[in-house]
Amino acid sequence: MNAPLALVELLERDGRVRRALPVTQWPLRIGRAIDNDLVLDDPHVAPYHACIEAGDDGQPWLVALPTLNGVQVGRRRLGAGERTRLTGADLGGWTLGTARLRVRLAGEALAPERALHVEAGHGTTILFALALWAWQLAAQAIRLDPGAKITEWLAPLLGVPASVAAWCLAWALASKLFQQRFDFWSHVAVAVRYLLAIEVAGFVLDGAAAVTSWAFLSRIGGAVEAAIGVAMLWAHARLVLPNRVRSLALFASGAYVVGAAIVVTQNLQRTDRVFTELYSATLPPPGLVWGRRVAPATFVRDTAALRERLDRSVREAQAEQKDDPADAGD
Amino acid sequence: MLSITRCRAALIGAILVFWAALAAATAAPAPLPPLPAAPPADGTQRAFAGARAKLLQVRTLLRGQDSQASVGSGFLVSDDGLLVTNYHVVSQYALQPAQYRLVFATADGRQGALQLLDVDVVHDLALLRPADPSLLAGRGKLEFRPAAEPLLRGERIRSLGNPLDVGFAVVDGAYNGLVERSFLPTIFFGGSLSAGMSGGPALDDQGRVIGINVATRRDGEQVSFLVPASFAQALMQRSRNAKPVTDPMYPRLVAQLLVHQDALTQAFLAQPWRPAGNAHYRIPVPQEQFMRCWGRSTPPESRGLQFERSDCAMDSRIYINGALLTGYLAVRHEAYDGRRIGTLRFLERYAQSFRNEFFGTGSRQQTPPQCEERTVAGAGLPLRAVLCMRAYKKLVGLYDMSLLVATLDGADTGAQGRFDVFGVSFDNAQRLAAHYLAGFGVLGPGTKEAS
Repeated sequence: MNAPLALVELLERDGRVRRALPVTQWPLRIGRAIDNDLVLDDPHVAPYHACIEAGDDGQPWLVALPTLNGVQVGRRRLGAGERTRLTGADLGGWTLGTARLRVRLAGEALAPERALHVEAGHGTTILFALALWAWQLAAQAIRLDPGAKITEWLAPLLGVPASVAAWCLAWALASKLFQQRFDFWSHVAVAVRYLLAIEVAGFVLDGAAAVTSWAFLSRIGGAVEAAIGVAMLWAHARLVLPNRVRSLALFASGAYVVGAAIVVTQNLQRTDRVFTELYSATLPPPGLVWGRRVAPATFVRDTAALRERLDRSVREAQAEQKDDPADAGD
Repeated sequence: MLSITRCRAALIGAILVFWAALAAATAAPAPLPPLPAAPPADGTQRAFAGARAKLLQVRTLLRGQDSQASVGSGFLVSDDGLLVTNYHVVSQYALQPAQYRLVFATADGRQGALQLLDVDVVHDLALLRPADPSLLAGRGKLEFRPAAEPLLRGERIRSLGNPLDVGFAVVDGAYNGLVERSFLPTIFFGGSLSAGMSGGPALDDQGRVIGINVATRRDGEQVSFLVPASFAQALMQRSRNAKPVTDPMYPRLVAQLLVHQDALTQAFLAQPWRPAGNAHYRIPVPQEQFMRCWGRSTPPESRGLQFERSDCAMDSRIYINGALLTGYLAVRHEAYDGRRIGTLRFLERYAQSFRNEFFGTGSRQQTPPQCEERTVAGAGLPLRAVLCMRAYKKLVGLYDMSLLVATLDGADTGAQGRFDVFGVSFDNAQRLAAHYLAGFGVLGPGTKEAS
């Protein structure tokens, strides 16, 4: 038996291979009729739909036979009688009717073996999970007065693990749907790391703002936490759809930019400010007041900067009123 | 509160629109019943009979239709038909003369258009005259009681007006002197005033005007307020020949409010801060000359953060319209003791309390707040200070200022204060802010706060 020249694969919608046909000689004819080399059971496919033949250079060429729907190769559509050389990206996916096919050539360079992400870092995940849990318990310990009832501990004690588990369960079901794998622990690994990152980022930014008196750090807290949140959703989604990592990343960053733009626009309209936060509210513990301290007189003098901002806002309101005389009263 | 009632007066007036329209449609103005032939013996009866012809109802109507937007009372103060009422009775017209018109109605059913000559927004007074002077000619006027004849506490006085648009009425009560701790002189009238009587006169035994009905307290019984007549007299003398108002009066209001805020700021800055009674901190608490303070503290058995709180505010506030009261100050502080809960819990609650402050939002009246925040080195005491200001959109040149301050020197004790100033110039806001910051400090060991 000759060594196979190529493998023609019929793909599932999620990219898995449903059927693989080793090819030992060209040409190869594909269609609905049973005397084809590869028979497709698809009403949108012609009896003799397409054919792959060796060109003068020995490379495979795809030829569209008399067909209504043609063959989709990349962004191009081959009509009946048209042909194209199958190289590079075109090998990876072309469509007859609704059937997606792929050609793998002998001697083709293969991608390196990918590590199984499930097994790696199980211990670290547990450490992160415990850290997140401890963080929530510590926050609750600080929130509660000494001698609080045991029932007041239930929320962080049980609620936090339960809600993280429910969240990961939902993602694992999505993985099951698209990857045929119930990938619970991979999602736990993502969730606990990112959730802990959100907590720590908020704490660090607020604390740094309080200690340094640099209010900007606390202003961006919400934006940073939201960014980590979006990154977490992206990390979950890439486990569900590993073949779509790039488009998921584009979608996630696009959604973040659009969301941020909406928030900023709303803030500017409602409050004449970019950030939602009016002032940074975390106070530094004594001994950690590292920011520059100004004299009261300097602070009061510096508030003169507010006047121009306020007066501009008044002028804008007056200009709006002139445009809309019905609104002239109050 | 004074202010709340004033707002409600306008509301009730608005509610009465339907009732009044019905009454006008179904009943012709009732003819004036004949006066009794015999001279009235009772003082109240005499007061009403003497003032009846000089008493008016002042209505603000929507210009396009005859619906009442608000109703109040008024009275004649000159032979040529000048009349006085409250500013808040005619505020809609004063601020939106294109949308509203003013009419009077007398007890004997006469009606006619009114012109607004001037207002004294600080004392809530307005001076008007009929568009056609002949309509109110020959009715005489109410005399003002001379300032040289002060009333005695407990003297019987009578207030007249048209409560709730029900009909002209007289209410008996007692003169109780001036309201204590009020920045603006206000007479405490021991009688019941109702919405709609605003702008009506309060008369002494001889039928002379001693004050103008202005407000009542809903949380008390027979605790009502009058504007002293001298302010109405001054307004009449100042503006009797003024040209009728045709444009929104905002610039005029600003001029009057600027004078008021200057006087208020100067009076306030002239007062030293009072000690707060805290063992460690010097915290600014205002004198109670024209402010009223209320205190509160955690119950001793409480397991959590202990605090003492003081809330001081001025009761006299200036009505601009139904959505805006201004021209007053408020000072508040909370002194915290977290020794029972430890440093971490204290810091969490302390920051939470600092976070839990509201500085208002943008509205039709005011811009959204803009803030400056800084760590300030007080007198031996690091402070976190947030100063937020809002500008008035229509009363251009006036601002609200809020200054939030927290001490930063304690691991389990601290004090936070807030100073709110409503309707001042920018410069005065800054002056008051500096004054407040200077009120914070640490009491050294063994030193006692001077009172």
